[in-house]
Amino acid sequence: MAAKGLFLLDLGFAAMIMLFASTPLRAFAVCPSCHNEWDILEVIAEILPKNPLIIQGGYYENATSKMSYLWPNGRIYIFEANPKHFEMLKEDRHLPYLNAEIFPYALDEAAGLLPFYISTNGTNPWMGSLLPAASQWNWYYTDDTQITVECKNLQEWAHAKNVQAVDFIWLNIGGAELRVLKSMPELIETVKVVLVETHDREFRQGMGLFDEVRSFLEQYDVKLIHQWMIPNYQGYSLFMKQGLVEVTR
Amino acid sequence: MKYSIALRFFFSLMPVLILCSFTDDASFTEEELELIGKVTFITTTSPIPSNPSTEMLEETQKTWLRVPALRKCKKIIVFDGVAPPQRYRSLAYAVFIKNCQKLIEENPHFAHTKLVINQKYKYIANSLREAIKQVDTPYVLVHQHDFCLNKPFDFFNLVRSMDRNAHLKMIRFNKFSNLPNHWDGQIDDHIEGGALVPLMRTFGWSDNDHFARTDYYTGFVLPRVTWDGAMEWFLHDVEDIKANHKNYGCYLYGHYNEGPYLYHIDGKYYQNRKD
Repeated sequence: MAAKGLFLLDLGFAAMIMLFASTPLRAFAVCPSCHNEWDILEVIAEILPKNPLIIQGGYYENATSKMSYLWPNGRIYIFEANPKHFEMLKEDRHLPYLNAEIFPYALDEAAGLLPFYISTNGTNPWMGSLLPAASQWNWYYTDDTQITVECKNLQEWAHAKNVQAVDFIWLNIGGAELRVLKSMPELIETVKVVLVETHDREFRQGMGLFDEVRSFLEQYDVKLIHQWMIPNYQGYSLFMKQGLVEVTR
Repeated sequence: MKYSIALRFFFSLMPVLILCSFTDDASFTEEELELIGKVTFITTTSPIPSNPSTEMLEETQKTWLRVPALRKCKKIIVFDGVAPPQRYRSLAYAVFIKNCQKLIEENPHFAHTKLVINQKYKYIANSLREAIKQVDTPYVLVHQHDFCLNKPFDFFNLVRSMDRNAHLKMIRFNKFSNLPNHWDGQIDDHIEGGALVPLMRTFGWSDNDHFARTDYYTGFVLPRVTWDGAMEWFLHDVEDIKANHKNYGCYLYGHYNEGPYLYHIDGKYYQNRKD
């Protein structure tokens, strides 16, 4: 009887060892000193393969140097609809080291031509969106310039480009983030990391809110890991495929 | 009997009334008003997590305005732009600027304050450069949004000293005790030309809250700032300050070994009480 009990105990230990061995979760420490998405790229790099496929919606001029350092063997596709910023992207001195392909398109749920609203007279010279400002926020999102831009559906674009999977998607596209995430049902199944600008209020008409983005991504087992948010305003949210990391604080 | 009680009560309150007249709604002599008119009180601010609330700004400003003369000085709040890695704070910061405009209209402590808004991120020195352009007084008090004044200082004698002694170019309030340290070096009480207030000669340069001559900024400090950065990066050079102290003219306010005048509440970590 005692021997049988010992055998069961051994079996239990063996099962536990196998369980731990089969789930090698990488510890993900959310560093309080990481104040922004630029800092967090290093942490994301630990999670991703050395040659990740990355899609970035919205050029971020301060990140190209870091991305070229972190992912010299990666493949990066950058979409930037604002012509002025696209020109800056073309001239970005880190671009040659980035293994990147750049596109002057906006990302949206459907391909086509759409108005694009640009605000040039604020404290943030990078404001531009497919969504017009909500009336109570038009003092900030002045939308003083309106142009027409070509939009791409990411899923269709990926098919045409023969892109089957994406490791990391980074969206900062003025409130259309949720629309884009919803428009890529196959790609979203493959994604490991999502870094996305999120909004607590509808500053622009039709803006996807943070709770909606989170609920949507959770359907795909992509869970919220960390946020850099000003409560009731905006910020960045980092999501990762469940089981990829174990969050430590 | 009733009258004598009333009189005794009145006289017992006299010291309090006198004290209040000094610490609160002080009335100034003509000479004092002239000295007040020589100073512009500049507050520098930039995006922080507690935006759009103005709570921290009000808290720190309140500590400075315990010095009655500062309530009457011309005031400027200069807003730096948003650093690219903090772009997500832009909207909250824009609302913060709006809230400051409201504050000027509603809060008497902020009355007659001019707002200088930098659209681009410039760091403190070049952001301040824009504010200095608006200054028409011979002296400035440069205050960073997250520094509290721990204790009062002698405003009038400080300004009188600067009026009388051209060697005093920059008088800083220390966030540490006035003792030798790695930053300020072997501070001493050698004050070229003397002063009416206690000062210590320092061999370190810091942009922590300080009085300065406006022409010291335009002629000495700002020309050295050749790119967007902290002023210390361009001016803190212990060996050069030692060799050319007359040019730098930097002093600490207070006696040797006197405790800190400033308390840094650090905007990076400041949390609003309501949150």
